This record gives sequence, structure tokens and C-alpha cells, in this order.
Amino acid sequence: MTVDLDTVLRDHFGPARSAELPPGSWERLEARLSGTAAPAPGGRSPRRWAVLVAAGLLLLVGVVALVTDGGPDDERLGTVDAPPDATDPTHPPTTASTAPSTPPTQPTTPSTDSTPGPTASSLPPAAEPPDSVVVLVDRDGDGLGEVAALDRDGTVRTLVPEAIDEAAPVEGGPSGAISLDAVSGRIAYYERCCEPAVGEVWAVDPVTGEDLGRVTHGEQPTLSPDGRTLAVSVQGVGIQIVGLGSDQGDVVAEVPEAGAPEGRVVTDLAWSPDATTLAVERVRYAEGEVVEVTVDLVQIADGTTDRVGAGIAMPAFLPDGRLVVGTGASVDEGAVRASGLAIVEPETGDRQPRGGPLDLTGVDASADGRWIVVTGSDGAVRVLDGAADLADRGPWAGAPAGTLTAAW
Amino acid sequence: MIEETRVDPDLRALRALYEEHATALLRLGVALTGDVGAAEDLVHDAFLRFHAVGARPGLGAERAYLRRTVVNLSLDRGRHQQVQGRLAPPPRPDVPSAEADVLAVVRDRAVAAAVAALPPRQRACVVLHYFAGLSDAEVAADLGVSVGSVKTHLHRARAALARRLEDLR
Repeated sequence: MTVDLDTVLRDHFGPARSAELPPGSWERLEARLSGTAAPAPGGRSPRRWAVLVAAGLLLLVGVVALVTDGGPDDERLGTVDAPPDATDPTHPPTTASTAPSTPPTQPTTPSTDSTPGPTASSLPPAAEPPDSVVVLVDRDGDGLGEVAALDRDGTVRTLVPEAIDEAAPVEGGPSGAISLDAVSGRIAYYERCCEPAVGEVWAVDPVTGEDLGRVTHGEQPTLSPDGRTLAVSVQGVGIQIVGLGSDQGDVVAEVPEAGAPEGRVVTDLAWSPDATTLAVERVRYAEGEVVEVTVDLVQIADGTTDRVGAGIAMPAFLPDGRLVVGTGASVDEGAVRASGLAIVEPETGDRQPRGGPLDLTGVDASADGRWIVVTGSDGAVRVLDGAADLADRGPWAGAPAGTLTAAW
Repeated sequence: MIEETRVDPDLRALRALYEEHATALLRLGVALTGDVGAAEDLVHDAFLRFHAVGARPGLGAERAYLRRTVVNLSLDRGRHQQVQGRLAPPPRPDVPSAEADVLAVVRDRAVAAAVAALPPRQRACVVLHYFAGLSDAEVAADLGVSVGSVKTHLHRARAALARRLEDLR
């Protein structure tokens, strides 16, 4: 007899649906509550201050552990040893949920991660459209992708397989983001999902497919223009800038998460050409529904955050500091989509439309902002000239269909 | 009436919240732990934390907040406890007398063991999806992770369960 697994699971959980609270349940809770002081209106009880102090110490220990251990072993979903927050259901808040970003910290604890790491070279950026783009493509929509190089002649070379088989040499499949060292063109950083932890950043040689090892913990890895640091989002912590040279794995700067992280996920990062600013795309959920997709500019030096706008996504910087964004942003089955392109003046927020209607699944830029890669739901990869008002330099042949995140 | 006015209004509001959501949260806890007692503990702990925090979720968002707390608390505990033995399915109301019932019990136990053997993250995703009926996006929002991560967890969980339950299907 063949039974659908979904049916088996739904049947299995059936009895739980009829479970009832044991008699006297509220009274037992009330008895426990009698030893719990209610929060003082407009203030914090002594117990609460004790909790805050303990939470602060835990945060300090957590950050140190995160750096020294190369990543948390925490099995709790969506969090690491994070700063307690008002809306984190398992941790009381330490600051008001509307508190502004605190200045970035400069952790000094060296990493003990001995994984051999990639080294950025100092080759000049390409002056012509590249011969190859490296993409993360999810062909079957299962949330796992493969890292592939797409050559101009239409050749598709798989660098890191989807690797969902436990016997495969790659323990976790690539997922979420990829960033290629545009300076050397020899190292691609990608987010691996999901074991042993959500959000592991690994490196691969995009030419040979050689595994270059684990780099750090985090999501949305994005390489700085000089190739010396990697920006990652660490849920519950914020945005971390991680060294890639002799300081590989060290958190060299950190922009703590501002306000309440509940239901808000960083879904894309982009460096400004002068490496002072990050454009941060976030999707905010409430009750399971997407509320908005936003793009903010975050100053790495002091954590200052300015909203570029809502309803825009996929930020990528041009050489002059302006932003290319996808407009009409939405979320479809968890993937951010956009229906047009625009150039945004960060100072004023003015948008200049550049094409549409489209069905964009990804916009990314080369490190110097010269080339903009645009991918569509039809699998088409196009390269636009960032120095020529996004002039279309043509489609990339042979790109496999799927959800695509591109960089090179 | 006099007694009524002596009740801490915060406590009264909490009780109203408890009466509204505790049963649903208990059922989620049972799905996560397979044990009514453990599930009740989770629910109580969630309400204690809710009571203790100063900045609470807005009106109407309490249920999602409490649900997240129950799931996260179960994951915290899952790291420290060997829960496999406690994950037998709740007893069915009728004693099985027919072969079909016996097979159902055997299957339930096998499924319970297979679900219990999943890594905590995968188990949480399975419970929220198959028991609570949440969509991938809702699970992601509840757990504060990306939808891609949820899909991956579910994909891996299904693959592992399919292997373990191959003989029963």
C-alpha cells in the first residue's frame, strides 16, 4: 500500500488536535505567576533590571562565542545568541523596540577558525563585460540551489551541486546569496543551508569548483569592493563585517540590529563603491503576511540608517553612488520579485524609471558598479552597463530557469 | 464584586488571553513534544514570559507571539533532552481490536519516532506546517528565518521521513 507522506503526517498529528488542557491548568499557572512581579508601568522592576544585566552578559558571551567558535550551535530557529529584544518571545528586551541603531562595535576577539580561506587579489576590475557570471539557481523551487557559472557561449558549469543527498560531499546545499570576488574573479562566497546551522558562508573557486572552506556564519554574504571583507546578516545580531585576509573570520565591524527583529528578514545587501555604506533590503512579515519590502542605507561607521523607500528591492550601487533598484517589489512564494528598474538618488529618494514591465528575480552589480546583472523569471540573464545609463549589453545565453541570484 | 475589583487588571487580561489561546497552544505543544504534561509546561512558560516582558506585541498579535515562544522553548529544551521516548503519540480513545487499528498504532509509533529523530529545526517546521497548517511564509515569519530556509528544512525533513517510513507506505 502506498500512502502519501503528507497524508501520513497530517494523520499523525490528528490526535494532538483534540488534546485538552488538564483540569486546574490556569490555577497552576497562576500559582507560578504569584512569584513573578508584573512589569512596573513605565519602568522596570528590580527583577527586570537583573534580567537585563544577565542578558547583557549573555550577549557579550554570545558575541565572543560566535566569533571564537566560528558560529553558534544553537538549534533555536532564527536566532543565535542574540541581544534580547522586546519582541523576541524567548528573551525580554533590553532596549525600547524603537531604539535607534547603536554605534557599530569593533570586536577584537580573533577567530580560531582554522579553515583555509580565500585571499583577495589586487587585479584591476574588468573593463569589458565579463565572460562568465556566477549564479545561484534554484531549479526545482525546493529552497536549495546550485552554484553555477554561466559562460558567454552558453555553457553552464555547476560549481557546487544542490547536494541534498546526505552522502554528497557538500553537507548543505547553497541557498540565499552568493557573492563573487570581482577583483580576482576566483572566489565565490555563498550561503549554505541549513546544517549544521542556518546561514553558513562558504567559499568556492568559481573556475575549478574547488571547495575553499567555511568562511563565517551569516546570511546574504556580500563582498566589499576591495575584496577584503564580507558583509553578512546574522539574525538577531545585525550586520557584521567579516575579514577575509589575515583576519579571516574576524568580525571587524558590527551594526547591531535596530528595533524589533520580529518578522523582519534581511534579504539582500549591497556595498557602496566607497565601502562606507550598505544598502539593505528587508522583508517584513506580520501574521505570516508580507507587510512591506524596503531598502535602507546603513552607514557602517556609525550605524546611521536612512530609508531609501518601500516597495523597492534588489539594491545595487552604480559607480557614482546612485542606486539601481527593482521597483514594484513583491514577494512570491518567498522570493522577492520586481516589476521594473529604476535609478534612485540616495540623497533625495528621486527615482528615474529604467524599463518595465519586467518580472525580475535578481539585480546585482559588479564590485565597481560598472556592470549590472539582471535576471528574470524566465531564466534570462542580462548584463547592463552601469556606466552608460544601464545600456543593455545583451542576454546571457544558456541560463537555466529558476530563481536566480547573480553576481560576479 | 469587591473580589472582582481586587484582581490585578494585568492578571485578568492575561487570564482572558489564556482562555482564548491556551488550548490551541497546548495542542501545538503536544504536536511538538508528544506529551500533554510537557506541552502544558511549555504553554505556562510562554505565558510567564509574556507576563514578564514590558513591551508586548500589539493587540491581535499575541497568538503569533505566544506560538513562537512555545516553539522556541521546545527547541531550547530539545537540545538538552532526549525526547524520543516521550514522543509516543497520544493514546487513542478506543483500544484497538482490529488488525487495522493495530497497524494504525504501529504506524503512529513509527511516525512519532521518525519525527522525533528529526533535527529540532526540521521538526519545528514539520509541526508548524503539517499540524498548525501554516504556509511556508507563515512558518518563516513565526520563526524569524527566510522562506528558503523553511523550504529547505521541510525538504530535508520529508526526505528523511520518507526514508524512515518507507516500509509503512
